[in-house]
Amino acid sequence: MTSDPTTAVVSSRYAVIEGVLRLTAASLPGIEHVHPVKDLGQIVEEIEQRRPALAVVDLDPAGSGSIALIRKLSTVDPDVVVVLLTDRVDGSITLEAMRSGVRGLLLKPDAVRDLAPSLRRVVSGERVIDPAFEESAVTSLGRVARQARESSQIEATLSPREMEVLQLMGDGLTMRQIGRRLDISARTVETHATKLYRKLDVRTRVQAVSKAASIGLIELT
Amino acid sequence: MSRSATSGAAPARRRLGVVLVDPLPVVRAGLGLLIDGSEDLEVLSEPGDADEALDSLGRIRRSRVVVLVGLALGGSQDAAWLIRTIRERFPSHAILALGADADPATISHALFVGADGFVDKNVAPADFLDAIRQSGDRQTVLVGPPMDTVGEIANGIDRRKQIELRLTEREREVLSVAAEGLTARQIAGRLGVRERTVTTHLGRIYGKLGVGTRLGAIRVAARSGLVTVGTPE
Repeated sequence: MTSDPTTAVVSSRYAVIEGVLRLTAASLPGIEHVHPVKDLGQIVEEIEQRRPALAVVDLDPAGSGSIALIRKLSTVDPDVVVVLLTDRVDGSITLEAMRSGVRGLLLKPDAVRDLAPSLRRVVSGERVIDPAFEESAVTSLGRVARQARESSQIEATLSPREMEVLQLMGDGLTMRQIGRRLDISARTVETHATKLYRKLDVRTRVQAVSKAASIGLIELT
Repeated sequence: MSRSATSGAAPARRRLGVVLVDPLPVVRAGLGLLIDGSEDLEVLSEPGDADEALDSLGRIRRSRVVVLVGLALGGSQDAAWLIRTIRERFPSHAILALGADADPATISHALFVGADGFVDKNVAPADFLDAIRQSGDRQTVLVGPPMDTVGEIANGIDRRKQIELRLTEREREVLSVAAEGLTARQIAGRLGVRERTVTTHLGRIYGKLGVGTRLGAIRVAARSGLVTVGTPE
């Protein structure tokens, strides 16, 4: 599906910033309609519906859901040019933005003042990342590499069944629930768990889950 | 060359030691001069291959040195092998991969196997030296490639990991030889196995990578930095 080249979607929880985003987007060549989205939780649905050429999103300063949001935005539609504003220099957010093909990552408060030239560069095809993010992104990259290496070394020793048990532990299921889910006895689950602890070099279930999550072996929801 | 002699009041801080591994003597000589020319860095050795490098590292009595590993290092003990081995045997040392206009997949590979960073030979001398210092300070270093490629490098690390997990060592070997454009019979000759064994391996590789042809497999492998198609580095 192609996007609508005359439409932009903007979102910020601050009325003032939203106003700036709206005005600036409207001043871009070709943009005729700008839709403000009050609720950041609605942004993905809004983009899916309107298929705008441009989406400018001011990330929530609390930032807890930022990474999940960036991931979701990246799967919506590659034709939608996504620009993010944030006031936090956070390596994992920056790296996620760069991995997902976000076209602009701008740092507040400067980003608000320089928004017009930044957006013009983005819509003309450039990728605009504030240099202030560079160091934290590279540090995060180092962490990604280390995690990938460690987790692949451990994962190589785990059987598919052990991986399943580990993921279900991460989801918070009890041994009995895991057994039911996998159609095996709780006793068998315990056996898998014991082997898992040894391979992960931990002693408890909580340690196993936290270690597995920290090296990216499983994802906690 | 005596570097330890300190005349004067305050004893000079020991320079950060650098081990410079590269197959090309000219590169070693040039970078060696540059590094020795700075006040806080010194070249401890300039090995030309992996064996020499490990030998030299085994004799160095320092808790932390920066090992520059030229990605042009080829053969069965190539740069990736050396980086992995140093990471295992000398975990406290910093490893900085050294390349020239390396593509993101190559950098992903180097970081995945254990490099703490990458520096391009084409950057300005001052930036090159700074990269070594930062690496000595235990920072992740990426000097040369545009900032824009960071995301791609990170994605490449994940793809790389997927392939490492899915293919056996033998399968990876078969695939990297296949990428040179050899026929199944030639691959068999190279690896000293029967042609039938090679076709079996290839069939499994296709299945694991979800592709139907050898070209498809090579493409997946190239994107992950598993094999290098075309010119090295």
